[in-house]
Amino acid sequence: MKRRDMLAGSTGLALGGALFGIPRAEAQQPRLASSQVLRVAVGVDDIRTVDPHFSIGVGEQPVTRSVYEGLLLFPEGLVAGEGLRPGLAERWESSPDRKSWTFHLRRGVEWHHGFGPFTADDVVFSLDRVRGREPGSPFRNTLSEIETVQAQDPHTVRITLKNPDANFVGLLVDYAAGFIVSKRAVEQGVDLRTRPVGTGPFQSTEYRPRESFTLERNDAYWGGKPVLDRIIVQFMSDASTRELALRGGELHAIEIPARQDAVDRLRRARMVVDLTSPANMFTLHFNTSMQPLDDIRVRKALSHATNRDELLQFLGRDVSQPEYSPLPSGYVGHTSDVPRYPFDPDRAKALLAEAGHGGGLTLSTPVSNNAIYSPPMQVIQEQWKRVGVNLELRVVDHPTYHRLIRENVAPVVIYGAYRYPLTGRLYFDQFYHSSAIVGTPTAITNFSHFRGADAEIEAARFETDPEKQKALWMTVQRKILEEAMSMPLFTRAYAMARSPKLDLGHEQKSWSFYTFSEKTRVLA
Amino acid sequence: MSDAAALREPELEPVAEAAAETPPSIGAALLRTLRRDPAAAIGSGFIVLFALVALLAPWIAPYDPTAQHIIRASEPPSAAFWLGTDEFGRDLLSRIIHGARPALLIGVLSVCVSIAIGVPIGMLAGYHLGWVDRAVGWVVDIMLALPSLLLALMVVALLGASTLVLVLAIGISHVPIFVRLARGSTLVVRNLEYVSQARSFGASDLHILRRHVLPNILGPLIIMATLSIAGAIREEASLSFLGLGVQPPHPSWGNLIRDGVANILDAPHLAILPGIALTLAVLAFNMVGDSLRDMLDPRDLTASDAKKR
Amino acid sequence: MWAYAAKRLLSAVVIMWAVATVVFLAMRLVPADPAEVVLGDQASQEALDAFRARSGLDRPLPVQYLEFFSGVLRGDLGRSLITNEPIAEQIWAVFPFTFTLAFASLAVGALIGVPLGVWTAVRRGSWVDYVGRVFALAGFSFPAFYLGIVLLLVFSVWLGWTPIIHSIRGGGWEEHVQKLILPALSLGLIQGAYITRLTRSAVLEALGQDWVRTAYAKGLPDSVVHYKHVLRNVMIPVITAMGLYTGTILGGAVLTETVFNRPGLGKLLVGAIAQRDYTLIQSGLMVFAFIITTVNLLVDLSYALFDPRVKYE
Repeated sequence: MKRRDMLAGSTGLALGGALFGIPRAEAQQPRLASSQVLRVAVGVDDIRTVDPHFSIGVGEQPVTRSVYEGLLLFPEGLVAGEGLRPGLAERWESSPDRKSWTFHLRRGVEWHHGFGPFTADDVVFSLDRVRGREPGSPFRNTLSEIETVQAQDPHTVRITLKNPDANFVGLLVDYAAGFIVSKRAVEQGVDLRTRPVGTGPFQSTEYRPRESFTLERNDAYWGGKPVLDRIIVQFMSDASTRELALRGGELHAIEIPARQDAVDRLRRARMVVDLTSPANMFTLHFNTSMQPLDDIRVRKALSHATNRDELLQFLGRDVSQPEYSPLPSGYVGHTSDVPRYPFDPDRAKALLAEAGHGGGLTLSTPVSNNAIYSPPMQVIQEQWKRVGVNLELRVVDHPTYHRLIRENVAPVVIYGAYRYPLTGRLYFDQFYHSSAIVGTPTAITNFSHFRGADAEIEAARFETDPEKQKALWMTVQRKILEEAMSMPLFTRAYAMARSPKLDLGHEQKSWSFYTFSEKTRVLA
Repeated sequence: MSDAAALREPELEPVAEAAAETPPSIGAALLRTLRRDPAAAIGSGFIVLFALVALLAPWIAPYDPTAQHIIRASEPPSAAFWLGTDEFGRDLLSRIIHGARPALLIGVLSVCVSIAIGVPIGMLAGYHLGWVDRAVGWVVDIMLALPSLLLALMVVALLGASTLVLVLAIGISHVPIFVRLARGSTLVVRNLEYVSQARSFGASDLHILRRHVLPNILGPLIIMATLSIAGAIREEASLSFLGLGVQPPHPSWGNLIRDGVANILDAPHLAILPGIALTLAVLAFNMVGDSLRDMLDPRDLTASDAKKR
Repeated sequence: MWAYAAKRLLSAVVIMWAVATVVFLAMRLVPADPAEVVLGDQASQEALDAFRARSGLDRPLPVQYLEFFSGVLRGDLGRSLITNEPIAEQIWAVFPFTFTLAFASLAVGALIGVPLGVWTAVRRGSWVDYVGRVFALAGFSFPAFYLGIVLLLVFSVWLGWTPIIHSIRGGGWEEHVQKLILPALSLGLIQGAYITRLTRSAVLEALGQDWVRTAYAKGLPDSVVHYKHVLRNVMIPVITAMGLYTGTILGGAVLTETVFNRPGLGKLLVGAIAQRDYTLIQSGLMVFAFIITTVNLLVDLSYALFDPRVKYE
């Protein structure tokens, strides 16, 4: 796989490789670079917070994922429901009714910066911190099914649930709500927003606002002493600068725009490009509280007018894949057996005429100036123009876009999202349940004002029979599309590139940026 | 911001004074300037050319500037697409040609806004002096102490970007220059003999301002307006470059540069060519304004005069 | 003169207050607030409210306003609403970058502008004058961000003479200088255009004055007249440029810093607007206004030093 290719590539470049009869063994036993300082760059101006219970930014991930851990850990470099490994908990078991879960914690784990040993108190503190009204974690809902968290002794934690959940441990991984923070550090007033204290292979040393975050190796790491000495995460919002710096050897790894041309160009430059999933699925939501989108014929017409293939061609075949259902492929409960509205401009025109818009239609909607939203919307704008729909785009800055779409002023909303755990639950709760309708006090992200499957969505939440749960979720998907409430478009992979000299120690299949472990190293 | 530089010209106030001493016939001066100064002739030629391109864009441009040909995206220059295509497969040449429209439109309109607000206020301040003058002075100082690009960013975040918002944001940020200009010129004119005479004959303030003061400051006003258009075109491009100017899919030189920069490694011409069009347009207005200034103010004023208040 | 300085200083304080007030109100009208930026799209209303309560954003505006200004009066610029870092520290951290950029671009401008200005004035009407004028006009007309892009493309990407990353702090002075070259050039060439024009005017005026004519009449050689008498006057346009364009450079630095990804005040504030970091924007723009008004004051006072004809009452 990739690593072998990359080694062959690098020696080929440096020495002429096998041409000079250099033994293969040498290529397979790469030497370490004398400097084990890793320099990477993410495409942001600054972090917002590296408090793991609040962090949502891509640029923060290399810090939070290197510093913090969960009771369970994902397989290295992969987000999946299976293959979870023991992390801060060495083992766990549940009561037969799946309502009570007991975790046996790893002993001898020390917090960074001398904050003492890791104990059950930290686990209780962390989970309560996420669940509590204060400080108000955005991931609070994830753990809403927990009744109580108790420390039975310094190395044993028992969690009781309100309802049985066979997949509960999947929530206690090293992600968002599952990250464990140090009770003592928080109580002593350490500001986790910029000064993370974790148990992971790397600990924070310096944060320079709007410039960089530096981590250094944690020699006491329970998984073994890391190879890398330091990781410097630089904030560089300009993609060209990042790319040039990578190609010029000033950086080892960068975030790149998920575009075919960038991917091809970096591969030509002999860099390793990694495309990961699960990634954001982009959906076009039709706001049915507004005219003329309250008319199903108009929604169907716009769906028929949208050419997914052209969008995919625009984005690039390697970085995007089509989506036809409101729940992305790969999620538990996904079905591709849904009503479809294939690209058909004539049908679109006929439907528009039928709805009384034969003379044309003008829609005005805000769009974010963010590079993930504005370009695909411009392609859709042009496609709709061909059937006589004039979509006026008002470009606003990103926070304004988020505010406007939540204030229910946008007739058409493009939105990219990815929700862990990879099931129908959060997706449907947030995008298609009536309580999440935008413009209401409990608003989340139901932009279409769909309320036609509340019963199924609620029933699926507590359904213990996996097959019945899937069936409910499949019904939800069909109902959404029967009403043409939204148009699922595509999933766009995360894209990143690295020097062949960066040996991650694992295959990078998931995450929005590279993850680094104790095995990660820089080759000579 | 950089663009305000053209507008905080130190030479301007004295220009007004000099002009006021010899009431000019602006038309004659213009003609004389054109005849004598090649820079003015070249500059005006370019302005006429840009105006024609903007006016006739739909007929000159080989393609609809917003029509996408995704299949032919990011192509290098060819017989079909003389300057190549962008990431949407849109013809760059057509987009540069159509980019002249927002540049000229926003450039001219925003200066109209600055004049409409700044000149009456400046004239009043210069005519009445006293507390009006002091109050105006404060407001101008405050506006000059705020970096106009940051201010415009906030305005655009507040109101969203549209041609109207751009015109207002840029126009208002240039108001102080016109206030100062009108005030300085009025100060000089109000003490001229024939104005004092008119006043003693009982002419109303409005009459005096319109009949005696305004014609006298027309010359410097036109110079300033010409230079201000140059500044406004740059400012529009800067805002578009930050992604908050002219709205897609419509081209503007600033957002063409912005889009081009994203592809600068593969296709630098996408950013470089619109930048040349932008620079030439700004240059044309600067050349004309500069020549007019030389002509109206033959004694070449010094900066120290400008700073003495 | 001291009374004049005191009066101007007082007005500077008032201007800073007004700037901060305008910004305080304007930012609260802009859609979205720090809570939404930090907590993102999955946050519940409850979480947003908790954030607002914690950072004091839920209190009435007059209270927030008074608190901000009482802090400023105590010399406390407050803390970032996003990262909770002290704002004074953040501004101090980037200030040297903006300062060196402003200073270096002024130096570039003076090195180009003063000789060219003197030369074109002395050779008024010749081809030298014409070339100088074209240069100055071109300089006025180049948008700084575009010039920056072109310089970056040519010198960093194609020729590889200058570094690509302009963002790394630390390192020796050589690294700092290396990373200053292109940004300083992109602002400095434009600066040079202004200084050329101002210098030319000043020299022309000086040449036309009685004492210069007298010097000629006394039979002093050209060079002595030019350099002894005329050059003195050159200080004035350079100082004027410093004053007039402090605001320009600081503001222009916004785009230059963005193009080069270089830390600085401008980039700090653009980022703060995007994140709706109210306190950082308020304090940052106040510092901006302070620098601009102070430099203008110093410039005006320095005229008295360099030009005996100027007196302030």
